[in-house]
Amino acid sequence: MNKINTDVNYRTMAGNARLVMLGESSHNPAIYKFEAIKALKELKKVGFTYFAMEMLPRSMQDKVEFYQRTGSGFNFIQQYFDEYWARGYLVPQAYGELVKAAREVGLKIIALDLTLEEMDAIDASCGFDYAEAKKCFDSHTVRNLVWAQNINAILNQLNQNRVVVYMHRWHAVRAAGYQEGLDTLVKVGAYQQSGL
Amino acid sequence: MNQIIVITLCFSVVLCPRSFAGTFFPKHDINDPNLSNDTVMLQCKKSLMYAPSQLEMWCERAYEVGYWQALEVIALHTGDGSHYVAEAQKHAENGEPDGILALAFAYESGRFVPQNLHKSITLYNQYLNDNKGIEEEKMRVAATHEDLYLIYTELGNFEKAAEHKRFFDENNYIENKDAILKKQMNEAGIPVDSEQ
Repeated sequence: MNKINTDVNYRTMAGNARLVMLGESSHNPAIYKFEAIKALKELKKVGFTYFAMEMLPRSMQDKVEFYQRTGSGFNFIQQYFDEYWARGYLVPQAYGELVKAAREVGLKIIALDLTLEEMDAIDASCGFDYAEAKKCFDSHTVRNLVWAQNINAILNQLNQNRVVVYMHRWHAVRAAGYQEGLDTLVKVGAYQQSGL
Repeated sequence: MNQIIVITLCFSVVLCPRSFAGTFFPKHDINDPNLSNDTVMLQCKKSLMYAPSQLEMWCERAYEVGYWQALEVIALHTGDGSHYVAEAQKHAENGEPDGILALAFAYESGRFVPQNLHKSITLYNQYLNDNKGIEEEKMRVAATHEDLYLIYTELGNFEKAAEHKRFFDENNYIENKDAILKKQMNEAGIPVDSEQ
């Protein structure tokens, strides 16, 4: 890649959508997170209200809210990225900058994920053959289901709520054939809520 | 439901150091004779997002120990699905549900083969005909009706779409999925409600 693409217009792409998912095709490059910061700034201007991310577990939501409210306590968040998201050079710092940017532009930050211990417990309970037969769910699918429920709860709370979500692209769309992605799970959840 | 937009950040990776996947990708020894086949397949699946540099190693081992579906993970990573499709074809011709459904999804999604929704419908219907009333396949049968509902909706055949939606509604597919999720989460000690 020897040319920077400056043609991306997130506002145009979002249109009147209430949910935009930014799916990084790899966790490794820091540059994707900086591109997402650009997206957040543009999307906030057109009325997006929430920023949800894969890279923080639900168990940290209190710490996230404290940081959001007071500006203090960011070190806990950065420590988490340093410990669990060291995918490459400057990657933890880049995730940290993404959270800071979301707070600075005024998006409410949502920690989406399960903890690693929770994921391991789920995987211990559901082997591949059972997961493929949909008799139970592997951790990838459980994460997607839980995130979809959380996102739908926000969207259903108020019509004005609009959510930007940051995740690996294999969560946003179906990965393996038996692992539904958020693109269908959120829609199905919405149909269920509206009784359609 | 309002629009959902998935924006996939697909920049080419300029600098790709060996990733430090942290504990999202356990450091198993692939040559450990005590490693279960299920663990090998789990490593293969996890490597797609957390350790792509080790993906081919783990997924080829998963294939060797009997998980032909590991070829899908390799295909998602390399973009070359020829081996995977050939294998799925072989299993489909043997009448195996895994093979039929894998091929059906490939034609539905246009992954590794040219998209062909009519071929996908034929394969999904073959699976339904072969597995009608089989308790073991209850969830996958309902999921297949959901897939057909989505395909017919895309094709604009709302009568057929409604027929398939009726099936998974009448069989409480969404509720059953929720129940499986809640049971797994409860047994793993994971809070079920969102922290929002």
